[in-house]
Amino acid sequence: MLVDNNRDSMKELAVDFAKLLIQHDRAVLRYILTFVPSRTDAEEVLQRTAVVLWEKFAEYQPGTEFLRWALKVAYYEILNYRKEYARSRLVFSEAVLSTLADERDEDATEYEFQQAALRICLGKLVPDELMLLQRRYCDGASIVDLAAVTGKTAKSLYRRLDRIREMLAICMERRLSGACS
Amino acid sequence: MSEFPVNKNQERRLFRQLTDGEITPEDFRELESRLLKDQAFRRRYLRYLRFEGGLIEILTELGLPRPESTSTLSSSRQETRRWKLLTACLLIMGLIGGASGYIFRSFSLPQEATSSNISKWVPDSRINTPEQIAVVRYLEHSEPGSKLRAGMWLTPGTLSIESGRLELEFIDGAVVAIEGAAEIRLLSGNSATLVRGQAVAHVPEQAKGFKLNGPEAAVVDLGTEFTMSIDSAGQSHVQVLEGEVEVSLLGDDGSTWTSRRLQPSQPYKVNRDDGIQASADLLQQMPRISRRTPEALRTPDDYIRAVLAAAPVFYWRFESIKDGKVRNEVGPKHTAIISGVTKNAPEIFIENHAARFLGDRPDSFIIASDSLSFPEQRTFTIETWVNADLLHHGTLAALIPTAYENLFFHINLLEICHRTEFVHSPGAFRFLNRSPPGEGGGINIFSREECTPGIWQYLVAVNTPDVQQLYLNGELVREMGKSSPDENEPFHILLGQLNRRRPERQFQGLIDELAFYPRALNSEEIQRHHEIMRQHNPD
Repeated sequence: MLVDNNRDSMKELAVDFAKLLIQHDRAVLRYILTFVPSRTDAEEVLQRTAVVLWEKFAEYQPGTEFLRWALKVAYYEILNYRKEYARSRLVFSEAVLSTLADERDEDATEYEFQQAALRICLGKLVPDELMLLQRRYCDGASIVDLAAVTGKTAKSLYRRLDRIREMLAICMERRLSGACS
Repeated sequence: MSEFPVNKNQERRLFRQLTDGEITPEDFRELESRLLKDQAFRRRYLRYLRFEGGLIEILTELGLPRPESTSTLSSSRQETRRWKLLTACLLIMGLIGGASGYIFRSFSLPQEATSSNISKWVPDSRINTPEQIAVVRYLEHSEPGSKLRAGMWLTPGTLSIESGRLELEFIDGAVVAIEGAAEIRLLSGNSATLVRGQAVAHVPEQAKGFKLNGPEAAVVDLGTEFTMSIDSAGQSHVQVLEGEVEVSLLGDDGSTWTSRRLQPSQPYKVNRDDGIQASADLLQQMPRISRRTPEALRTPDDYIRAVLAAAPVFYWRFESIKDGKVRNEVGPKHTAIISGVTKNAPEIFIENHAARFLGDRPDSFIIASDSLSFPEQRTFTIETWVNADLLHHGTLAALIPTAYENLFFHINLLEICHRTEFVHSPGAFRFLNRSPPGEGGGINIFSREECTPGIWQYLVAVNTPDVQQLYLNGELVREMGKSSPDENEPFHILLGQLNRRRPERQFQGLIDELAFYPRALNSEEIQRHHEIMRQHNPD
């Protein structure tokens, strides 16, 4: 009976944790990307963060802000990642990480507006452009495959991708700044 | 070491190289140095990374495109990452069976709007790449902290205001005003639900069939104007101001249970207990929808000097009309002649130092007093500021060959295109080039960005033997290369309708600061002109 009770409370804890993690994992990944701009590396840091969060979940006070706590844990994992890879990869120095951490302040409403603007701008792309972006962001390697299929060079596809992203960034900025179009 | 970027485009390219893993060690070191020393640069970096993060989120929600030639199914990388993440956690916990049901449900939960007491807009996040369905054309006052503003385009979602008046133009043409406190859910270009408060709707001919829902009612407009109010008990009150509507009381399945056609009269209330009944309760009278005079474009002397320095053939500032003409700031030739002036009934007038086109007259145009010819093979630039009253198909400028004036031929057209027979975004700007001149055909470029009613927009069309370009608000938004040079023809320039003898596609709105150059302005000149004007006309 005692064992079952423990198992039930563990199960409840796990469901609570899963719920919070799903709610906030995108914001945590976004945070990590600021310091670790390589997506693959950022995802690795996110996984490590999730494990630490679970290990320490008993310390988490329900009702307090989970995201704030998760970002703090994520920052330590970013520092650990830095120590591990500083010699082999281009990673920001501790001074840069600390300066960025001080400066970064994401407003949820503003982010919501950005996303709404971005969705509209994406909606203006022709299907080929949208497909190219999806290839880049859903499967980084497939640009090369796509180049082989379309008979174009990967370089020319990347150049096109660059133009599309530049156009999207301008479109989004214009919408956010209210430059009326 | 490579030279460090000095402009925003180059900066963004550098940020992209960083996120793509293609940055050189030299540039990376320089980037680090700038991030440490330059706060403005640091903020732009953070802003870009937020854009990149947002892009990742949306595109991975959309998933990977599946080529038709292969049956391989590819799941989105983010969803795969999320499942890996969760599966790892749950395996550690040994609880995958218990929690997975919950997780499946959580993935499809829509985001809930947070409540607050300021005006706000909450887009429907369940739609991945939503269409724009309405634009805010008037906002009486914007509270601090609210992002709502005039000129803002909206996708399906919920909009609420706590005070003041807000007017929306739906993409199919209906205009709806709400007054605070009120909440409206935008469903499509031709339908909405009033959740609370009061609304007045003006429905022109082209938007007939516009539907405004209430809690238990739906009003389908059959033309012109009505008001609707939702009281605290959730009852709908409807009053027709002009024209007629079909009011439905809805059944449990949301379809019409019973309906009644209403004409201008007393208010009616609609609820399940009483059906559709005439009501003695007077609705609070909301001001009806009328044409608004936009704020004047404030043109600084610097702008005028910059335009004149760029050597236009003519520059019309529309400050006043004298003897039916608007002066050319460059010289005595090429003045702007107002239509109807010979009949002593000018059809264009000056409003707030700009040319006002009403678009409802037998003729509504301005024509240059002298014909022009191209010094170089059809190389020119038309530069102007436009403020449209509404989304419509209207001609801003037409270049008409003098030899074929009676044949309705065109060399070039600059237009706003909305609900036309062509394929383009709603409210797009169009720049057409026809060579040889003709009544049909030619090469079009359409902007993806749209005309925003009630807002001053800066439009520049450039034509050279090699390229056709369209700039909006200082940015190149579309260009098209050419394979063969254009033919040269003497021409007239006409503003406001398709042709002098064809009063079609009449523009409704204001045109100001129009300049015509016999050369191609370059992007730096265009950006500079835009920046000078924007400094004095903040959005």
